[in-house]
Amino acid sequence: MSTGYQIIVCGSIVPDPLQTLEPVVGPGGPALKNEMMLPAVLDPWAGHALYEAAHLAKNTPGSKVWLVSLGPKAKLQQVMMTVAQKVPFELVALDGPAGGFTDSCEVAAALAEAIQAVPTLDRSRLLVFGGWESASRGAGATLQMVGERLGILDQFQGVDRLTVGNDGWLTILERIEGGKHQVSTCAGPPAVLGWATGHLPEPPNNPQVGMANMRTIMPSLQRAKAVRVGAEGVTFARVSLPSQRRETRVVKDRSADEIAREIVAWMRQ
Amino acid sequence: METLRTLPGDDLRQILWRFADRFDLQMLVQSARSVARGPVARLVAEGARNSHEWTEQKAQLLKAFDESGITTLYMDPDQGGYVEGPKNLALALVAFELAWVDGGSATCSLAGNLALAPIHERGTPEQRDTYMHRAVPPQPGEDRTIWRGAFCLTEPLPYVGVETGLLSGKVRIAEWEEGKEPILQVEKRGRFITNMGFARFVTAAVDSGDDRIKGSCMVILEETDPGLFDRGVPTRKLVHQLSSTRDPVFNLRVPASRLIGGYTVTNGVIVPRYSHGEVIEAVFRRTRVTVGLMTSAKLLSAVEPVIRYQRGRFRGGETITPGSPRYELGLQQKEDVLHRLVDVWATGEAGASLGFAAARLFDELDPLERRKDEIFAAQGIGGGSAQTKALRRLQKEALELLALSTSPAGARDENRYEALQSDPLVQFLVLDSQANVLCPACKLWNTGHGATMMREAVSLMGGYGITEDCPGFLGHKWMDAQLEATYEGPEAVQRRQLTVTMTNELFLEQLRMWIAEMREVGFRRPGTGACTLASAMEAWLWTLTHLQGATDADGAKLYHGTRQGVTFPLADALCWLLASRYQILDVLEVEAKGPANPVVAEGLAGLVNFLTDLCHIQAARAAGEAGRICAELVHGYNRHPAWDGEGCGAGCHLGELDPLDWIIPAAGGSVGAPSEGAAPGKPHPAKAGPCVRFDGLEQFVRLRLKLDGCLTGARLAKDRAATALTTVMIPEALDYPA
Amino acid sequence: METILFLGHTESDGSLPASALEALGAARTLAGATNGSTLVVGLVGGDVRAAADGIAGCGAARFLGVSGQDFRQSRYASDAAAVEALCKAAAATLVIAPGTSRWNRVLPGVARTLRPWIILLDPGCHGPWQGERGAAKLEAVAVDLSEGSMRTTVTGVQAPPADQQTIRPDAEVLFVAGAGWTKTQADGKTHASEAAELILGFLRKSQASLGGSKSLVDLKGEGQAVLPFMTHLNQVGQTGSTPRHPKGLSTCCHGEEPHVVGWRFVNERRAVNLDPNCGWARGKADVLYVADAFEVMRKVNALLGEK
Repeated sequence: MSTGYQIIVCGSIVPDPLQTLEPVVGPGGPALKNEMMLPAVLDPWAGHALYEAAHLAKNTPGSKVWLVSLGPKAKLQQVMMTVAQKVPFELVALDGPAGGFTDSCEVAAALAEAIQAVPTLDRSRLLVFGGWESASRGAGATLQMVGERLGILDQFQGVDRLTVGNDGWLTILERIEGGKHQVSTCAGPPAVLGWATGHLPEPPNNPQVGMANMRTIMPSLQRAKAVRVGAEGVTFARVSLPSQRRETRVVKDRSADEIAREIVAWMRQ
Repeated sequence: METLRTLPGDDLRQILWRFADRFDLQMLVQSARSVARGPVARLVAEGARNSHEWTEQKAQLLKAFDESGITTLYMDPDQGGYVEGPKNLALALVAFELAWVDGGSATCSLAGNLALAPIHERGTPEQRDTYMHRAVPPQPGEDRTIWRGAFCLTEPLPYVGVETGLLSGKVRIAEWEEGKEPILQVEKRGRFITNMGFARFVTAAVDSGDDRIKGSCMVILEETDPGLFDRGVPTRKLVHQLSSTRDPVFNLRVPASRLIGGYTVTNGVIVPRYSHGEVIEAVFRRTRVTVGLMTSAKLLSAVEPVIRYQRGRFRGGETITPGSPRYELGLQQKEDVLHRLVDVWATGEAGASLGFAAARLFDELDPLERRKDEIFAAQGIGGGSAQTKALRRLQKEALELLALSTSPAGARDENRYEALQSDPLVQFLVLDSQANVLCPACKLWNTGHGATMMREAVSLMGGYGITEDCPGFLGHKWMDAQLEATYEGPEAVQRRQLTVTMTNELFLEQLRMWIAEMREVGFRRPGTGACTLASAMEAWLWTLTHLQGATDADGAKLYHGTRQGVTFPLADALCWLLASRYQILDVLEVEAKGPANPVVAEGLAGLVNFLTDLCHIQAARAAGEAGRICAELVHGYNRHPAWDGEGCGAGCHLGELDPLDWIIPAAGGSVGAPSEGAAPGKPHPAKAGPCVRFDGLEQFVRLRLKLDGCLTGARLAKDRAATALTTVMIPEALDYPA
Repeated sequence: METILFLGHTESDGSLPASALEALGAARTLAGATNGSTLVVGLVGGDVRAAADGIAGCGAARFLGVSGQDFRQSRYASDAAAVEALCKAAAATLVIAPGTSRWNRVLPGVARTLRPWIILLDPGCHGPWQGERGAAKLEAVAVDLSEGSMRTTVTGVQAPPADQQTIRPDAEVLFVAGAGWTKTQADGKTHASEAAELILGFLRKSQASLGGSKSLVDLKGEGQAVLPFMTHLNQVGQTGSTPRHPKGLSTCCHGEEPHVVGWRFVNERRAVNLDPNCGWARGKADVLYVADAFEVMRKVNALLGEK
């Protein structure tokens, strides 16, 4: 029996965070202005999960990584041109909305169904990864529901490190309050891990990895199933950016001394 | 009317520049972009450009190129590369991405390929195997260091620069033992040699300094060859400081097997297979396109920072309240800055369209060229003049193919058409005649006019533009553009080449077809300015034909190799027209293919409207330039009449008379006979004439008049494009540091 | 008619965290505003008696508790079982709970199985409930944990040594350092170690919490000059944290949107940056000092030392 892991990373795309993200309410409910046209990136949290997955797979012979992605097909494809160059994985694409205005419960149902449909899935070796939040909506609720649907009771959120002991036990560091980590051990897969930033830098692009990945990614995109997810029963009353525009007083031509005194006085107010 | 909603994204560019079905290239673009907007941008922001030396900090770039696949891009899969087939478009896209942030980094990456290019294009199979493999970054588990190279042609003054035919670098025979490989002594001093700070091998152009070696050649020099391998002093260039440029000195002993392409021995004389001229011709005509695209990338990269600067110009001022036009629009309240930015953008689009079209053309041409060489080799036709002669014999057939291709199917000899169309030599001739124009046109216009427009972009940033802090490094880019106009053959070289290639009847026949094509486009899509362009092309063609037969006031021939005052401007004019044509064709492509891509389809109507307006603006500008140049050339070499001078008399008329009267009687509504001068016995009014008659130039005057009329609507397009700039969404911040 | 369940878990010392009292305050407010609703308290922990007594006066109709050694630890499987049992015992239609790491981990999963409305309240969104201790009438709710619920064991907590702990959620001031601290300075060199000293000195003297911009924390992965104590945990912004502090001071950071999103709950904001056109100037800070942060912080530290 293989000792490798079957690592399924759930992750999709978000608008490039440098873009101007302006909420608008259209006929189909709230959305971001010109969202379809704005460049997208892999959700940064999901990215960390993917890189950690690849790292674990590389160090555990017999492992394999899948990326299960729910998003508009054309945009997924574009993002894959970057992501596919980072690490080896197989894509399972679901064609549907990826914005912040879908119900995590519906998204989780679609993802869980796609995971269950992965051929040769072996629950005893299954690790479900994903971001503990999303940059499009930080509810941090989807992955737990995916886990519940798959009947996985060992779940971790805000994970920054996963190590595998010689006995196959997993040691997991999760972020908790106050800049601390909770340390847990788990008796091996199956488990759900919602990653925070992890500890790996973003791998550089490698077109050779990309070319290899593309052999499965393009067919996967072509056969991506259309999935209907929305927010059944939810009405968004209002969507707005946090109001944070201030009257900025720009202080120029003052000495460091004066500025320091002003700052200290302000801190002590 | 819908207009541009966001800045053009990758989905659009892939369609526009025709790589929507090339995932290898799409990945490559992302890869190159991450290097450009990551390590490259950081180097520039940290001031790495402030030294001429090749520093450890700058050397990080090479590592980034290796890791991201940029280094290996040039190689074929069997050499360790990953892109199949010709790579002109691929290399162009990489250079475009790198130059978006810093031109020097693009040069640095290209120079490595340039060093390999002589070997790639003309090397023996052994030479190709050896050096292409060495230039691939070591793979995991491999214990070797990568070989980087430099291309060494340019020499200290007075020689190689513009004049690539004269070389002071010499190759002599140092040792030639009976039955053994000759050992050569190669002496070469280089100037302005890119990558010289770290190159381990050099492909150098040298001339024979020995009766036992025939002609010139290119030779591979290695760092460890016995003798002097002196990297020389860094060139104190003001630009492109992320590429290493030095003036090296070589005096090395190398085996004759290093002659690129190999050699034969005839009557005790070493005959290199290729002269240095034959090698560099094959090299430059590909790489020059890439350089042209670097400048276009800069122009397009300027759009976003300039818009952001314009909008935020007054924010933070005490009396400027959010919501007020001054706060929200800033400088964009003023028409002038918008119009100027529109011009910058339109130039960038046109240049990119021309450059990528040329790159794609070379991708098409490369396999045909190899096929041509195979066919000739099989027929025992060697290189050089023998090939030229053989090809000249096929010119008629190529022209016949063009003629047949314009006749409607059914009304032509289909068998003949099929036969010609499937003849690789005929195909080669047709495409080659295009490439011979597009390559110098792209290099010349994109960089030369591009540098001028880059200055415009800098000026739009006010004083900020000329500081190191300017977002988008616009000041650097402006200066860099000037080097791009010179690198790999300065403007004069490109103009000279054009004066020859643009008069090739095969090219001219295609130009005639393009005029018809643009008329047809103009009929379907009048907003593109295609009709304007067609009129300008017609005027240009008329002018060329006229000048080829005309003489100046002193009876000297006008269209002549030495008459650069005639030929060069005409070459310049053609470049404008070509760039505009490809810009229009690209927009038509987006219009056709956009709906199939959901991302592009979302804002397609507005996008196409905006890009169409840019085409119109650019076509009008191009037509204006071409018209001005043609008019100067057509009229300018005739002596201006004077009332008392020779050739006046009946040829003179009052300046206030409408000149159109000479073409279309009473068109100007002026009174009196056109030939009427001053009333007898009365002095001529000081403000009047004498003006010329246009005998024999009536058609040109008609063409000019038509051309002016064709500008109709161009300024409305500019107004619309300017308005679009005030509403288009831009990101919160630039995606690379400043 | 709504049954509003306030759900809390105890800390290791048996108390309720501050955020729990805020959530309780919110639950009470909501109950008060909803006619005919009932407030029920549900607590999970090793021993929940003290915590229940601490909020005995909150006006809840019932106090339910799941306790025992298995529920001391913050573990998904046992927490899910406990919460599910409490929801059922309370017949809750609406659950209000503090957005702690423990509840954030488990409540979405419970929501999927039970589907009541569950609202996790971020710290700082509502005033805390304040009231007298008392003797709560605690009903113990029994939970049988299956074998499969015990595969995970919490073995402890890792925290940097107290003097190196830079994240202080309760601090008055958030101090954010941007990538500028490690960049080439006017003399053409980088001064990362001086930057580190200045920043740590300030944190020591002011007891401020340290945040970082993404570009600064990312530098580590790119092999650049770095501040050794700056980790991803410090990262503030769209892909980092959104801390709550009354005041925030940003230094050497451009104030770009994805970062400033993380300042949502920082009330008063000042920034020191050499670039007068940086993001902070565009309505994102109350005051922008256009100055060299090295110089300013040197003086600030000196002034704080005088105190």
